[in-house]
Amino acid sequence: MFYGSSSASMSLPSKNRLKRQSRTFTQVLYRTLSYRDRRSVTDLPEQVRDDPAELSTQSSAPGVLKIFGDEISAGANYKSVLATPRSSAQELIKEALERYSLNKASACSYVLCDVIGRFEGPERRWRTECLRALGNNEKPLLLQDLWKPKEGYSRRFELRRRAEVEELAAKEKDTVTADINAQARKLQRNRAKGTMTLQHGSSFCRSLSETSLNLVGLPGPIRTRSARDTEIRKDGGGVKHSLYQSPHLLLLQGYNQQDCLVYLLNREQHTVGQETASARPNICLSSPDVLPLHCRIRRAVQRRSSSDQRLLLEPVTHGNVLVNFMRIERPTPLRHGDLLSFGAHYIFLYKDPLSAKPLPAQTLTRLRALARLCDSESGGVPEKGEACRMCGAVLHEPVVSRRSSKAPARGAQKRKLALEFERAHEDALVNRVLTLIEPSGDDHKLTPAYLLCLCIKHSANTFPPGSFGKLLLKIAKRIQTIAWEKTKELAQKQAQHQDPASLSLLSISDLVPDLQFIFFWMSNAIEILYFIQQKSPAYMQTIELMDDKAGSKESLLSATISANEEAMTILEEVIMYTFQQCVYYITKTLYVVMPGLLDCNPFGTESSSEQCRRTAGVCVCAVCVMPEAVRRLIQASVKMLLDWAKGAGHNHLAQKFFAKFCSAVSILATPPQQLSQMSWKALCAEHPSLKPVQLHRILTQYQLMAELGPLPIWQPSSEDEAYIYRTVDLLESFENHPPIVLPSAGFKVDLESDCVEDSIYRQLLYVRHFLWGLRTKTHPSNGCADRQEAQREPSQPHSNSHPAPPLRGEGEGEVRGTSAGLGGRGEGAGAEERPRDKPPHSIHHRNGTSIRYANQTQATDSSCPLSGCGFPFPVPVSHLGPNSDDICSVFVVDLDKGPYGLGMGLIDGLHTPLNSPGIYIRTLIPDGPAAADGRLCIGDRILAVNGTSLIGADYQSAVDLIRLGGGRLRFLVAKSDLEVTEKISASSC
Amino acid sequence: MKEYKVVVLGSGGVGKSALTVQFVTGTFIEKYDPTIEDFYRKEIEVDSSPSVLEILDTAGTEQFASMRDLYIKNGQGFILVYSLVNQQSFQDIRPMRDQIVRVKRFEKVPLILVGNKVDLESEREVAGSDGRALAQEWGCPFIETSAKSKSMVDELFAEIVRQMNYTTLPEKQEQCCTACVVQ
Repeated sequence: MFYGSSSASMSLPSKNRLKRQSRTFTQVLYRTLSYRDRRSVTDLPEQVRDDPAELSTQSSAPGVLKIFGDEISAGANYKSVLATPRSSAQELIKEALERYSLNKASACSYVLCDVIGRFEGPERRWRTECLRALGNNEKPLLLQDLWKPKEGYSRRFELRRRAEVEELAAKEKDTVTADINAQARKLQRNRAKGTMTLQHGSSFCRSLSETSLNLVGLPGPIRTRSARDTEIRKDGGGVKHSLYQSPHLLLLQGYNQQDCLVYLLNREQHTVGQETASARPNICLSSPDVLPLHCRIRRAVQRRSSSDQRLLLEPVTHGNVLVNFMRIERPTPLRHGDLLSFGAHYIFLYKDPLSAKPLPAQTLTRLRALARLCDSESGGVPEKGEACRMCGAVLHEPVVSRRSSKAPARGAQKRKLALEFERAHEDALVNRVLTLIEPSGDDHKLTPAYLLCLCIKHSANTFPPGSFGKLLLKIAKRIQTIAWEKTKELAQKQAQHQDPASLSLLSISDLVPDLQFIFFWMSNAIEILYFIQQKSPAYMQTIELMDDKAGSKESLLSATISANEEAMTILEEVIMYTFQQCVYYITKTLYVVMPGLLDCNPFGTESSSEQCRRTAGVCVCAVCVMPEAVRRLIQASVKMLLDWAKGAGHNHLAQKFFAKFCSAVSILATPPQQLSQMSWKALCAEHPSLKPVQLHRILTQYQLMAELGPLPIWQPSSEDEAYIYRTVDLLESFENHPPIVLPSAGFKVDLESDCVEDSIYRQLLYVRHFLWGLRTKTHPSNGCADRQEAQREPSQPHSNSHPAPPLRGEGEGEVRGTSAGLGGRGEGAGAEERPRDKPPHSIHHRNGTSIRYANQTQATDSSCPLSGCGFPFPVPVSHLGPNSDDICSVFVVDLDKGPYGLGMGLIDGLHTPLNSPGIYIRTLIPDGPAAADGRLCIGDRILAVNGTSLIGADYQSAVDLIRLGGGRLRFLVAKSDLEVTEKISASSC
Repeated sequence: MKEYKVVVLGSGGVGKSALTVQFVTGTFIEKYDPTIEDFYRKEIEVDSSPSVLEILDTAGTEQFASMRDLYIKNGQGFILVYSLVNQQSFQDIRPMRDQIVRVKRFEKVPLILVGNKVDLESEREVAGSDGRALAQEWGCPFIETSAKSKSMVDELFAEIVRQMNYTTLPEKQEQCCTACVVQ
């Protein structure tokens, strides 16, 4: 046979095209010939299914073996010989040589090769991927039965000159190993860097300690660079050997999984430190308190015999180095059994096997003490965490962080964090997770983040590539909706406090439950955002590594990227919005508290400090509600955390933001007698942060309030005189308030971490149960039912631009309050100016999940498939069919026209048993671009082409749109359910 | 570069392989070894446009006649070869042309009638006029060639390319009332 026909076959450069052509041809032929010339139909072999992977044989021509011979005879692509499964390679070579008009006697200088390759490029050129010379007695036809090339590749038998093949094999061997080595080096580098973003596979999640342990006794690289560079590679049992030969550091307590268990000290000098872009110490420690160059361990220069070698530990300035828990400042010789601490986390045991002594007694005592220390520390932490005295919130964060750092040393029980679910249950699962935790409860507040990250991970690892992008988007949108709902609810509650009388009744304790809810989602959003940022590059890679089928990879990749970016944007929006809300409400309560503070007599020290305590208490209380990550965020902007900040060691931040406030307070706190002695110049010098006009104002008001006469000594100096009337400078401007930056550290959700909070694990187990319950149920899940119900509710368009109280306004209001107090509360308009324009919502039920879903579905349905593609969405929901509530039911498909079009037949639904208009897919030609995309099915509805809606369009105009739409077309497709699909396929055509 | 799929047909021993190999490699094979199915590629320039010829050299022996329908289905241009020293081979040509027309469902399939072995003038059994008459009836060119002396071989293949350029197979697909294969 020729040129492939329905098989994938011989015509090399245009195999596929012909294949497609011939297929469509046969279809046409069959139809028409059936009444014209029946003989011809019987002549045509009925659907001979040839294996596209075998180019040398065709089932329609049994016994014929095509032997390709481009290499030995120019122009001759292949020649056929007769062959049976019994024919040996040698016999076939002889046959083939005869066909190629070559001397049969020279058979031994030719070899039959089993060649695997594929057709590439638009020219469909054959590219050899792998070549194997057959032994003389191997039987090619038998071989075809025994093993097949992998998907997408084909096999053909080639006749080649033996010498060439051998030369080729020799050349290839080298390059292959070189590649493997390069790969290994690359992996090693990645591992050494410990980058989170580029984890190629699960195998890299193993801790280095584990790997280094495995390496003990095995040849291969070890983490210690010196070791790797020197002896290990040469000497087979190197590591095992050198552990007994060379002094080494044994890790007792580490920081994270990057740590190595053993560091050999077999060089003249070792540097210890944290790996940075510029510094690559020999011993890389990863805890943040370790300096790039933390200390050196060098071999002491000995004048006497070389056998008595000692290692000196040389600390560098500021490097926190302890030997046997004593801080050292100068080079210290190391002794067998010393305990070395680098920074707060790392503890090493120094062993010198050369001395071959047991560990000294004091080392063992210290180790015992260390163990007790660990126990008491972990035991001292109450399981549930302490409760904040102000608001009753659980103070769990410090516990978690302390625990996680202790974990490797304590060897806490390992728990595999994994959540497996089926795709069908995705929605129900996400819904359950989102409603699982009551923010005011005792459960771990980051549980949703943990669980959702697990969902994303599972989706990315298990489901078809690209599906995780959709999941991300789904999750982001749900969180967004929840946050909005909650803030609306809160705004409504707060609307009652609008009048000044009730405003004064506002206290932080009323706000806490609601604020908690907002903080809760803000912190979870932060964690999820961070997770996405870290992991999605790796997940994207799986798509990139995918086999490219007719360009579907590109569109899938771009779709996933845009979904991913959109999800991140939404999460950022949620974070910013919830943050603004928090600042707004906290400021508002402060505003109520502030006048009390400022009204009281500043000279009665007793009451003012009481007030200060109260104010600070509000702040601290507010901050208690939020997890660590959020706290940092708040700090950057809330300017009232002076006391707390000092206590929490954020002095520099506090100083920066509270300088003026402090100055003002200190002036007021100065006893009047003393103050009246101070000259303008002295005051200026003491409080450089206050502008002349501000200082002047404070002093004049002070004179009025204290009923002092004008004090000449406070007269501004002549050079400042011009400035004191610049009232523009009087009020503090927050134009240049610090930018709100997302936190960049302190994240808690780490799926690779070995130990998690009990409560998180408990919730994980609960969710697994829930999934199990879903699986055993035959009915559609609750979540679906909910959402279908929700579908019927009237749509309520969400606008992305929520009325968010501007941060700047808050800041101004706050400081105005301060100065107003000083000036006799003259300008307290800040509060009234605040936006109150949130639309009142009548239905707000705390546990009203169905309502929440309703809004959610609307939100997702109306924007999800469109974002990133710019489609108008002219489809009324009812048109999408019963299944349309699923987010994935409407999607965008980019198709490139092949040489024979898209390979997709359309039909107007009007002419089918469906009997309603709409352009549906009626046929998909196998291997056509449409079929290759994989997402399109017969019965799916095309909603739009290149942005032009097909709703209401007739068949011909739809076809014209596609015909004239260019080589690359973008379709908006609605997935149809089984019922519609059946009706469409039932149409006779 | 345009590709042309050429099928060489004719009964056994008329010189199909000899013609093809002469054209592709420029050598003449003396030995008779019945072909099963061979495939060649050659780039040539016809009327100053470069073209790639994919030539399928088929089996002339009846043993493999069953494969002929598929050759025809996939081929674009056909070279029908008979031996002018063998009357029977000339008789065999007509049913082959009928088969082409039947499979292609098209009268104007690009084809050339070739009388080979013109070097054996002394043994001629088929007169040139017979061949010419038949070609006229079919409306196709007629060439007498010799693979051995390489007479008219290159011209033959250049001519089939031209033939394929003149006539294009109808590729129009039928569309039914409501559904179509979108091109």
